[in-house]
Amino acid sequence: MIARLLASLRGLLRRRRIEGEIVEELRDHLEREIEARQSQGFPPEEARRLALRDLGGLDQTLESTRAVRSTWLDSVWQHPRRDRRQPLDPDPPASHRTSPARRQRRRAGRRCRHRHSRRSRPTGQILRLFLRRGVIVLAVGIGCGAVAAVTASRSLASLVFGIDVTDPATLGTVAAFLTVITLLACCLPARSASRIAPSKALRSE
Amino acid sequence: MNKTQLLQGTLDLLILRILDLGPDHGWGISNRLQQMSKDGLKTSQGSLYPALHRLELRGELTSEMKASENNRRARVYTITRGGRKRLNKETEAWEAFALSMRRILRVGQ
Repeated sequence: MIARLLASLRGLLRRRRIEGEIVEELRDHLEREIEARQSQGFPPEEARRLALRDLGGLDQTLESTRAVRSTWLDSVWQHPRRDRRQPLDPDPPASHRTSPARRQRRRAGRRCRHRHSRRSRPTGQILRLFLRRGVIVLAVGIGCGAVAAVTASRSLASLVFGIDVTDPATLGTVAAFLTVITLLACCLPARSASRIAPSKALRSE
Repeated sequence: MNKTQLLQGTLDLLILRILDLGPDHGWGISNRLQQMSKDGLKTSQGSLYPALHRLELRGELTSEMKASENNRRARVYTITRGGRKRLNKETEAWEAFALSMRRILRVGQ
């Protein structure tokens, strides 16, 4: 139990470094696999193709490994443009290389999809969307609550002993407590929602 | 012999068993698994790495980036005491299960 706790803590503290090391680890695996295939007599292009196939897709493997390591902290702080990480395959075969013009068209397409569709929103964006809406409701709620509390203070005065009905510390504590509850109520469902594959969400509709 | 897909839930046990023989990196584990099963078992390498990281987070493995041959850096995994404990426990459970399965499948033969 203690060992597990320590391992989780270590993982949490080292997660930024490990993130980069996962890429290095998978790259190393791919290179070893290519070499093994080449030593079996496969030509380089074919060896690379088979190695990539066996790994089950580099990006998918990378994402599922990252998912194991990710915590709710990562979901909150995740940068929306995380796709700009270093490429996994340092030397893709000629058939996989794309011209600069084609890459630009792809990037433009991605930007366009992000702007107009919610289907491919990364976790950070979904969280921010939920939080923004929650914070608006929270601000209105706390504002109305504070006004109502002060307005009702005269009629409540006979029920309260030893404390001022407009005590700033009490009002502040209640507001802080409600803020925490609201943020949790926004973050937890948003986190679950962001983990659902878009294809699954669409199918269930 | 045809390669058989691993039964769900057995990958952790196999990883722990292989690392019980000595520290190794991901590719080495995958290779050893194939060699030890005489090409009988095939694990998806895509599920190997998430499993290794999950086991590390559970405290059953530790890992370290080390320089390997050809000046490359590889993550080398080592089994912990907790991992060995789980290995022993699950090996016993697996053997009991396999024995029961064999008994049932051979009834009437």
